[in-house]
Amino acid sequence: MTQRVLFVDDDEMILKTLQCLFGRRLSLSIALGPEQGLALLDGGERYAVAVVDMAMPVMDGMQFIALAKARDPHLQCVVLSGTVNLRDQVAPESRSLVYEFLEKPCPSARLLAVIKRAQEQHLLATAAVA
Amino acid sequence: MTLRRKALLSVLVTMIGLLTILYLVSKVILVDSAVRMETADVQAQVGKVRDYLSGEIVFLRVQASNWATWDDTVSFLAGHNPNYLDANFSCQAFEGLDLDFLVILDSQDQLGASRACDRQTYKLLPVDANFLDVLLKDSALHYDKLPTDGLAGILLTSSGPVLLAAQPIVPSSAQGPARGTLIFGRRLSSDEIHSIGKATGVDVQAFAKGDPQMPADMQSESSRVSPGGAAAVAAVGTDQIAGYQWVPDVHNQPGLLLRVTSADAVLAESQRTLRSLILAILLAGPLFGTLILVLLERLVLAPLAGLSASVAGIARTGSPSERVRMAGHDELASLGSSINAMLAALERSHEDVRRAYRQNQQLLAAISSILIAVDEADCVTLWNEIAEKTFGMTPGETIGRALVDCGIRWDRAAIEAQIQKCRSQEQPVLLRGFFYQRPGGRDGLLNLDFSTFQGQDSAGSGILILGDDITQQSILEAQLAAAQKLQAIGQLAAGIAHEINTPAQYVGDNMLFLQQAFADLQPLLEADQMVCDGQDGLCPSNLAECVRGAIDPSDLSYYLQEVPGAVDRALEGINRVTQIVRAMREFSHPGSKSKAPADLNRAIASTITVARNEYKHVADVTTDFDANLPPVTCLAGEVNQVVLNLLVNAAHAIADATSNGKTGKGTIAVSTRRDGSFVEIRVADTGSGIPEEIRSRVFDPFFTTKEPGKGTGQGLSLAHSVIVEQHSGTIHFETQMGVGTTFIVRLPLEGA
Repeated sequence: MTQRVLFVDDDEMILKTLQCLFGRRLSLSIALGPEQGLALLDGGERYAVAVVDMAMPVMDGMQFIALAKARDPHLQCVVLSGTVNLRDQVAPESRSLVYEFLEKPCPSARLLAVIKRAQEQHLLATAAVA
Repeated sequence: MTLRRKALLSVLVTMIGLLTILYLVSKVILVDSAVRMETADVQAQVGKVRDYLSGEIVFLRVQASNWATWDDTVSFLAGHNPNYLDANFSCQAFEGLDLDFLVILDSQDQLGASRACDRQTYKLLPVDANFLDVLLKDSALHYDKLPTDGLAGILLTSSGPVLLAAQPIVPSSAQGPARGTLIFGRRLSSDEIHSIGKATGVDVQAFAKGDPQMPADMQSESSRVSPGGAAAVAAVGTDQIAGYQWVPDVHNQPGLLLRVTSADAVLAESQRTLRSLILAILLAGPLFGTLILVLLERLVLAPLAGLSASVAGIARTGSPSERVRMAGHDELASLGSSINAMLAALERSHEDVRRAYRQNQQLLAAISSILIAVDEADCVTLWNEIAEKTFGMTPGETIGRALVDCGIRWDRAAIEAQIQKCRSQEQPVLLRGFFYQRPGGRDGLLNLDFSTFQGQDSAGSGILILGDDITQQSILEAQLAAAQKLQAIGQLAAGIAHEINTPAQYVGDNMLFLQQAFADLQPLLEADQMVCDGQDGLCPSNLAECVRGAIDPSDLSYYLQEVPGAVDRALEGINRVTQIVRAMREFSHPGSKSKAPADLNRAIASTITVARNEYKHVADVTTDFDANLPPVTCLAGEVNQVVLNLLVNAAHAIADATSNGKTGKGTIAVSTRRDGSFVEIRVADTGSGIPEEIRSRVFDPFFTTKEPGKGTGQGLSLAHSVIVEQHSGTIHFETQMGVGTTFIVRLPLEGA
């Protein structure tokens, strides 16, 4: 089965670049902003991994993750943010919702590796439930 | 003159007046009444003598009448009785009748008979010829003039005054005319007068009118005495009094002047009494005067002097807490208690003044500012402890000296000019950030407020200088401003990092993609190169096969589709980074410490770029810049800081109003306009507005509505200080609840 990856960011440049870079290696969807992301999650498609920007209008990345996790507890969420030391700024009780914190600029090889591991984690989590 | 002397003088004057009045009254009452009594007495004595004389005259007349109507006398005159004289008028008969002579005249007034008797020698004598001559010539005695009841009285002759009685001689039958005249006479010799005095018990003297032997006093009094009036009375010598009166003669003319003398006993007695009285008064006067003085002294003067000394003592010590000691219930005691009440009131007001003075001193001591007062001649009159500490000079060194000459190292001309300005404008003058040299030699900064105050006289106004050494404060302010700037930059740095990291991410990713694309395309490009070089023979099979094998066709179409976008994105990312870095440089204006002409539109645009991360999620920024805005002379870095603060505040206000953008983005409208010699910058947000109750505190330092850690409360306070104090501009806001707030900054074009 394909493990789909959802990229959520308010910067179209980022989304287009990621799509261009990983479009042939990952089964991915892009969402411009959290509202669109939630709409995709509600659209029936299941996602294994979500790569989420932190600073976004309407709601920030953590709020989006909380809502997404509520929809699909097995969704593995990776934060990719331009904010320095982001992990320390997130409340400890919310950190467990996040599989990995990555800072922009993040080398694409590392991002890809994290996404792969998150996909494996997702496999384990869903298998355990099954 | 002391009260005692006045009292003594009063008593003396009263005593002298009293004695004089007593003396005068006594004299009038005693002496005058005595004189009146004596006058009456002397007049009575004179009357007594006159009565006696009248009695003698009547006696003589009765005798003469008896003899004149005796028939023997008639017959004698008719010549029938020759023995008549001898038989009837012997010396014994003269003695018995108390006569000195007798004269009988016939009807022709011829001498019928005459006889006299010297009653000392008892010898009969002829009548004195002179006397006879007077008698015969006196017409009043003439037969035809003589009244029928005869005539009696005093007759003056050259031989002295005589008493005589003349009776017409008629028979006892009283028939027929008078036959002649019978005259009885008695000499009024001094002996006779003396015997009258004896008989009447009166010391009397009598002298005929014109008698050369009359004493001088009688001669002088004779003119004063009226013949018919009362006796005149006069003092004779020192102890006698005399009464004078004329006794008329037979012709009813002043004949005999009587003088009755009497011892002046009553007068002397009254004068003695008066003397005794005066003596008594003279003795009693000083006694009573002394007594009055002693009583006055004991009862009034001594307590008064005590009161006076007590009050003088209080006046000398000047202490109103002392009290006058008073005993008794008289007016002095009530005066004393009134003085005590006054002293109590004085003490209270003194205490009030002291308290006010203490408060004043405490107030002055509590003032933690420099406090210097100069008088109208600019001489120092007040120099407080802070001034002493600040300038290193004691009040002793400065008070009384001219302020500019007391040795402070500062711009004397500027101080003089400020004082002059304050005095001429009569309103406070402020001097901010004024340099002076501290006692240690280092530079210091002062804030000085000059204000006028009215001196003790109206000669001119003094100046009160209230000042603070703001050196430390200025350093702290500068440090605080720097810290705020650092904090703002720190806060911005995170946003800017974010703004740079995002393009860096996709610039890198796109470059990576391009690198992969190039790597995948490289065999194709090498094949192409071989074709171009004419080495297509090297190709293992035909060229088409060679090119087709160089790359997966699906990859090629992918790259053809994606590479141009990737290149664009990489360039766009680099562009963004460049833009941000340039904006940062323009925003911070490093090294611009003095005012310089600046393009405010560009500066504001840079600031908006730098601050993008602060607002981009909650608001869109619209700009409306005046394209013809001239350069503004300002500290561009500082003004940018102010605009940044306004942008961040606007973003926060919108975030609060839109729940961090959940209910839609707001708008921040930034505009610039030229308004005369000013430039106006408006930053308007669509936030919720500033509540009425905190509007007045918006520019207060450390005032913030943000939760702890989110804001220092320094932003608008520093903005105020930058615009108002450094640029002489203004900053204010217009706000409407639920609509938004617009901050308006006005800067002078030419700076200040």
